[in-house]
Amino acid sequence: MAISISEHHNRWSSHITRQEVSAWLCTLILFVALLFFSVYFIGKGFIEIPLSEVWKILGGEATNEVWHDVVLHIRLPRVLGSLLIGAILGCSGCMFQALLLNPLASPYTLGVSGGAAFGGACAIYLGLSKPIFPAFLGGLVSLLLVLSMSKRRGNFQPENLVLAGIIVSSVFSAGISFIKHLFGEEVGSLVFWLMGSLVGIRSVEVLWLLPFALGIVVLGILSAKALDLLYLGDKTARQSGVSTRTLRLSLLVIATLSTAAAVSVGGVIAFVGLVVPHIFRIAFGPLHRYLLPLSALGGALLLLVSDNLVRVCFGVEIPVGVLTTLIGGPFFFYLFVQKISWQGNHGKS
Amino acid sequence: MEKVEIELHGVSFSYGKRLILEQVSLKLEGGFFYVLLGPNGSGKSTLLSLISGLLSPQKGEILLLGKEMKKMSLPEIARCVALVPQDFFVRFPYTVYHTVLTGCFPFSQNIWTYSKEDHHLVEHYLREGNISHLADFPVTALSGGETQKVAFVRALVREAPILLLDEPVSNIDIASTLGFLKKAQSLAQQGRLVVAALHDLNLASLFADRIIFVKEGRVELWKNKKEALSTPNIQRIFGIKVTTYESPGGELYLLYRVK
Repeated sequence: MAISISEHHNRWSSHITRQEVSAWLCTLILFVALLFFSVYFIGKGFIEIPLSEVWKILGGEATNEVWHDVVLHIRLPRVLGSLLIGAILGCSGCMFQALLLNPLASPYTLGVSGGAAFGGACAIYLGLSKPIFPAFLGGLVSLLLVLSMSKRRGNFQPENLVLAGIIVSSVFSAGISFIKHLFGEEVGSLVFWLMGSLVGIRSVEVLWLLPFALGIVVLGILSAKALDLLYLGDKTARQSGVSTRTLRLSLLVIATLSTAAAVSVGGVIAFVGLVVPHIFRIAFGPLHRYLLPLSALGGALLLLVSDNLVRVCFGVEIPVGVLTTLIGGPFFFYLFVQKISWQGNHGKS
Repeated sequence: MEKVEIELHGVSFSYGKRLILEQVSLKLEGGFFYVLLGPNGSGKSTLLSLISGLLSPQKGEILLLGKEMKKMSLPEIARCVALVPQDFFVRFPYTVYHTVLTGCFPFSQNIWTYSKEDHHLVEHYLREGNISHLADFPVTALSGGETQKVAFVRALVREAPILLLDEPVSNIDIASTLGFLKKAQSLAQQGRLVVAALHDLNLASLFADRIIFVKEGRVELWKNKKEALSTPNIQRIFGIKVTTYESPGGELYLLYRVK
């Protein structure tokens, strides 16, 4: 080799440090951005509250009675809810893509959204306005169906899981259509819930989401190193000491349950789980020890900004799923066109 | 260090109703380069998959370094055996460097990253395999032969006592083929156990210490490779005619006769 040993080694150590530093820097920036936007958006809206007052109220000082209620009971839960749901969707999207070896996978690939939406729709039809547990239960049922189907046929292989997910979600979406039909003229409330909305999230719901969000992020980070071997195929991963079956099964269950919890509170919010991981994969490469935390933070930021921007700027409520796509889409398009060229030919046949 | 050896006792394996290996008993020892020969579908890969812990036999037992394989965990097996698979296929754009680095996984102690020693091993073997210049590229952007070299280097990094090669050079140019097989041969000479499934009888003749034929569920071990590669034996196993030629240096070459 022409390169001397020391030169070669320096090249590597500098390469790794640079990537690591830029990923951590991005994590830090996202943290700061999340904090800033959270406080900023809590102050904004129909009732304007100065930033200094928001800080005081969050710090536990009693000031204006109305402001106090608006901050602690309306805007704070909504902001926290959007952060947690965004983090769950980003992180579980990243996990699904790794576990199913499929860049097109999203948190909804295994049909959990279909099941949860069907559960929620049934409950709304029966008169519940906030169908959290029925929706979660629906998600759970769809997970069990998918797992039992793909166990019998091919031992939880990615292709079978995806296929089972398609089957389950199409059955449930037919069920939803049937309920829409039953609703007749008053279909509006159901459609609004199905499109995803973070209006009226209460503290209880935030507490319900919290363990799922923490669980998926912590477990994801702990298994990041093993996840980095799955892309070599199950055979090579197993021969390198990764028990792929246990890893895939346990992370799929965590990711699906978290997603079901997110859907039960916020409805089916599109785009976040599919595209946020891709944005960071293009920017920082596919290593999961960066990718999972970044996807969680990025998902949280995207959902926070999408949920609040229109509410604050125009004073109207638009289904948040529409906005996540409107905001994230063009950015993804930019990255896709800009960065894809230097990565070489990904789709090598 | 315990004695490097693999023992198979009455091992049978079938995919559904298709019987691949029947009552195979075999003892392989460290310090030798074994070459597996046999027609397609004869069970060479199955045998290697059994030894590397990817499949478990329906009957019989396998001992790795004297330990029963059934009682070993996947990481434990991975520390004993490194396999270069036949189909090394990658779908995400991880770099060549990282792909080789994951070869250290079964030894690696840290939960989060790989140690400095692991990185040194990777650098060393990338140079040894002459693929340092590819280190920065995503594996998805490599040619078939380059990918196979990465798979080979990834297995070397583990420095396991047993090295299994499943058609490791099927896409590699002739210079690199000789280089890699020489490397495997030198590892065997240092006391490791190397088993390679090959199709090229001349490569087998050049590098093997011992030959294993696999055909119709049966396995035969030949300690003398020149006897193993004799004209009647090749006729019996592969159904082809060969003329053998021994060079003044003592190497045996086989010429295939088609007319």
